[in-house]
Amino acid sequence: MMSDGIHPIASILAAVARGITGVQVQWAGCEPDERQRIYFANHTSHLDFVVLWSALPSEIRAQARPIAAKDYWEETPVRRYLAENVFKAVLVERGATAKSKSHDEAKFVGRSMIEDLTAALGERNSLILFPEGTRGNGEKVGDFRGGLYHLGLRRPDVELVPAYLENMNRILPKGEYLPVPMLSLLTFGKPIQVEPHEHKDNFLERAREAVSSLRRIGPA
Amino acid sequence: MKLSIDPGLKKKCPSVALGCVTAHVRTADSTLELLAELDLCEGGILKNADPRAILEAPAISATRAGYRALGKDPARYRGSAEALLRRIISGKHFPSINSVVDIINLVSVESRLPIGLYDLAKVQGDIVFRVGHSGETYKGIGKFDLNLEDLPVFCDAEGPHGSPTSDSERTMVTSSTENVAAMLISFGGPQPLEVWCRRMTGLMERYAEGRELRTEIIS
Repeated sequence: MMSDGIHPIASILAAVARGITGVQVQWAGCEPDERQRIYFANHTSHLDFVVLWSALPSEIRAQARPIAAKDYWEETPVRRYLAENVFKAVLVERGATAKSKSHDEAKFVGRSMIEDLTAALGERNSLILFPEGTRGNGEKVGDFRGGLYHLGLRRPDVELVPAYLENMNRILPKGEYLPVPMLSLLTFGKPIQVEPHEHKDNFLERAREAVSSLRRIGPA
Repeated sequence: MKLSIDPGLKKKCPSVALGCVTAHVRTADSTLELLAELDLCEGGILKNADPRAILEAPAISATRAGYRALGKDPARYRGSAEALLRRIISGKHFPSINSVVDIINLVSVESRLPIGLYDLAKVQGDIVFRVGHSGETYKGIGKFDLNLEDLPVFCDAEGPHGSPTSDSERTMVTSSTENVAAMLISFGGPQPLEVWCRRMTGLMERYAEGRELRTEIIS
């Protein structure tokens, strides 16, 4: 189980992230709630998870664990420390199933990841997930990978809350290391759920649309 | 078949609620896909940093509190979800019985709710969920006679046939069963029942050729 409380460094980083991005938060489709949720959002910047995490009220933030890319967050000891000890992130290998050498291996890898995420949810935690799996260019929300569907199917008691982050691709675009201070907007939408007989592709498209529909400003 | 909660039980456990799923099913050996679901569920539990923390889940605590309110020791008479979770945490696997029983066990572990499963052809008349009386007993599935006094029990016209601890052999599902009733038992109120009934109907359709599925929530 994740220990209670927020690491002091996390609070500082969250304040810095909020300062740089000037993020305004809109709860358009639901209210902040301590119940278990999976917040899923568009992904255009390495700042995304920090900004989304920092935008949650502190009592909710204490139980929210971001899902982050293992290759990026384990690249340096500092990043690894931040991910594991400060943000209590769940690190997953990007494109692990695609890299598999056989269908059976891909299934095994995919299953193992779902087991990890289910374990991370536990009895009290929420997750922050970017189902595109990689950063997009901010023009449109890319196709979603299947993890959100598999989690939603097996944990129907957990709310799936869509969220849209605007302007993050301008504040810290792909390939840049220094953020440019600029205003951003984070909108939380109405929770969705996997219907009992819903096909994976149908659900993932519906989830993608739930995120896209929260966009307030035109394409970048 | 009509299902109700006896006022006497409701008085002692005011939050008790039932989710009832009835279905026409085909009972067969579980498919590899369903067995993979069971494996995945086990993996999600065992990969938890502290698997035993699951035993403090709200639904488990509510069941224990319900038993205590009835005067039954929850450490001696465990809810079936808790018993299954303890089995998995200890490194044993889900028992694999048949597709329908395996589905019920899977949802029970996922939801942390005890679930009763009955062959409707063996149930006589309506079912009442009430407190077990002194002297009442039945042969539990794979167990000796169960002392039902003060246990919450499902009773049909012939008497008790199920409880959140262990169901009876009299109404158990076998390979010839065609129509079942699954009872999800929540001592913490009706709130979690709807989503878990939906999960169960989805699994029954997918893995047990479930048809004519009906769900009812009673609180």
